[in-house]
Amino acid sequence: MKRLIVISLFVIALLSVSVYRAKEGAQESEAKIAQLEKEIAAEKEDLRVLKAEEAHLSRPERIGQLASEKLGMGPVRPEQMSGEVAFDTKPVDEVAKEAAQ
Amino acid sequence: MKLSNSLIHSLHFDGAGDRWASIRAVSVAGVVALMFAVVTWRATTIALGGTHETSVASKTVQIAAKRADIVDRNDELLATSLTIDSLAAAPQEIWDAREVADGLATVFPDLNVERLVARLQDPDRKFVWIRRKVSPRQRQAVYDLGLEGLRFEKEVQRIYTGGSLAGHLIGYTNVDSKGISGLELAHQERLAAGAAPLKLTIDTGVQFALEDELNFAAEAFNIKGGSGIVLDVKTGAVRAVASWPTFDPNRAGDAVDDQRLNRAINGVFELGSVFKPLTVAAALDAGVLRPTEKFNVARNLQFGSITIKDRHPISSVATVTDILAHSSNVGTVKISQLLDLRQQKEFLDSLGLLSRPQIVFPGAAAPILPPEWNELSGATISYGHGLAVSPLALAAAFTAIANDGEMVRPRFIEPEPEDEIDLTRVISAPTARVIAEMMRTTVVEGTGTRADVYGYEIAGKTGTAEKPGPDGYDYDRNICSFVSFFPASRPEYVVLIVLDEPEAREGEGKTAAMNAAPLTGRLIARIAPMLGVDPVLEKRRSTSQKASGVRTVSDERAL
Repeated sequence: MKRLIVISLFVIALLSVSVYRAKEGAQESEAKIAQLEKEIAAEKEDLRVLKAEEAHLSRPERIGQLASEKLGMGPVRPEQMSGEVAFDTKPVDEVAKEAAQ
Repeated sequence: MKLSNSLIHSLHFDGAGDRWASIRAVSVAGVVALMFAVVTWRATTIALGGTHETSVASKTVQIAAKRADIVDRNDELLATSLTIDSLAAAPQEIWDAREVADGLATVFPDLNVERLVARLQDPDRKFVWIRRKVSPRQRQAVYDLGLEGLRFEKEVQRIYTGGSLAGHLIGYTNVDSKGISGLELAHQERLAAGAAPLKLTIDTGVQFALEDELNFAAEAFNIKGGSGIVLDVKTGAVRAVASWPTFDPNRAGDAVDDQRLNRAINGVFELGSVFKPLTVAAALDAGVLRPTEKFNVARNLQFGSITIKDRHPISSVATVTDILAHSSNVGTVKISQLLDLRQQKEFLDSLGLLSRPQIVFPGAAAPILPPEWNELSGATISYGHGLAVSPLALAAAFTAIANDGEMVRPRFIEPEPEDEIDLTRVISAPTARVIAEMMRTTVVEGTGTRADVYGYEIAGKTGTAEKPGPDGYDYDRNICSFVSFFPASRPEYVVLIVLDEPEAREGEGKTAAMNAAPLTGRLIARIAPMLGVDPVLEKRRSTSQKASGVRTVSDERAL
């Protein structure tokens, strides 16, 4: 009887320790997940800030001025533009035939 | 229980003294067992259930639930929400409220110290906002103070990346990120739901060019206000809409009412002669006017004490095209007299000029109609006086001329492929084409020559309206406008520019021909490539010399 009690107590203690360790492990994992989620949220926030900065830095007012000052660029003039008529519109096989002759 | 029995059996009972001793031993064993049971129970519940504190993850999710971004037609970011800090205090954790308030005043000089002390000492308060949305530098300064009971709460701040760009259209939010103006208000529910970005029809490049030209007009002509619209005639997509003076929605509170007024949508003006093509269209469509008809416009018209005359009189017989090209008030009134008042009113109503525009935008202005629609008001309305409409409403009306008679409803949100475009036929196609030709002639050889830009076949009409004052119309204070579309042979965009009280540049007049028209030409030269409009490379006309001859914006600015 005494042996049974001792074994029971030992099993209970073992189970208790196991449960405690499992719980401890779960809590650690939860904390790790929470930390990772927090980091993801922070990264996402950083990304939003960077996108906002990018949009702010690439606004036409700034880019236009830089393009004009540093590259000497200006608005496109109509003469600089050409429609598809400017290209050879002959069918490919006809062009190939001409090239073969 | 078994444990207790075994303990009892393990004890020896000898006489009365031993009896008390055994009772005490059992009692002590019972208490110890009870305590052990309580500790075991609590340990088990904690081990299995855990505590009920809110996890960090759920807090993170709460902060991440943000207002949706606003982007332009090319997905360029216009408005976004970022998380920043706000300073708060827990009064119950503060021992010396005066010390805390004095310390914070060194970081926030405008802080009301006495008021803050009173709030921190209020026993009923558990939470006090001290300063919403502080900068990283202020945050560090507060940390450096090392004061008690303070903490930073994460809050969402709306950021407008383009600054004042399209500020009137986009609008702004209040401190709680709730839309209170412009499209932020119009689409509050959609944006607050935090779904995909709200995609506007606006093209950032076109919008900037329009605002830049209005800024130029402000410097060159010292205008009191101005507005402009670029509208896609096929879909109604508003590619740019601007009002001058501008304001930065990031600091909307710093702007005065005059800056915040959206003159393009929320303001109404008597726009003058830009109404003339509509009068001619009404008469042609009603079958009471032939395009080849001629009118004697040499003499002024008299309506009681009111004289209707031309700013630049035509001293001979004029064709309908001449009347438009040279902007004859007398000729236009004579054409309007071919219509009865009901026909004129119904026509303008069909163009949406007599009712509030059907657009999703807060405060879209309703027109101001004449108190009575009689012979005189009918005559003046024919050339754009006596009826005040918003620039957006007028631009929308001209989509009918540009679009073979079908008018399109303006929209600010990019349509999905499955969305239907709201087109309404208000003019017959032949009438629309005749008016378009006449408006092209106005630019080639009429009052609009300074708008002409090689390659883009601009068709347009000037409008120089006298502003109404307490003593009637003021000849010297004008609203100058230019309504146009391009390219005339296959119109794609309507452009309207309205300038409030422009002044004359040295050696020039101050009519729309001298300010709004050349401004429109420069604008179209800039935006047409951005909008993908192929130039019509016609042979250069000699009239181009008479026009601004502008090839680039910088050319003109250098003049």
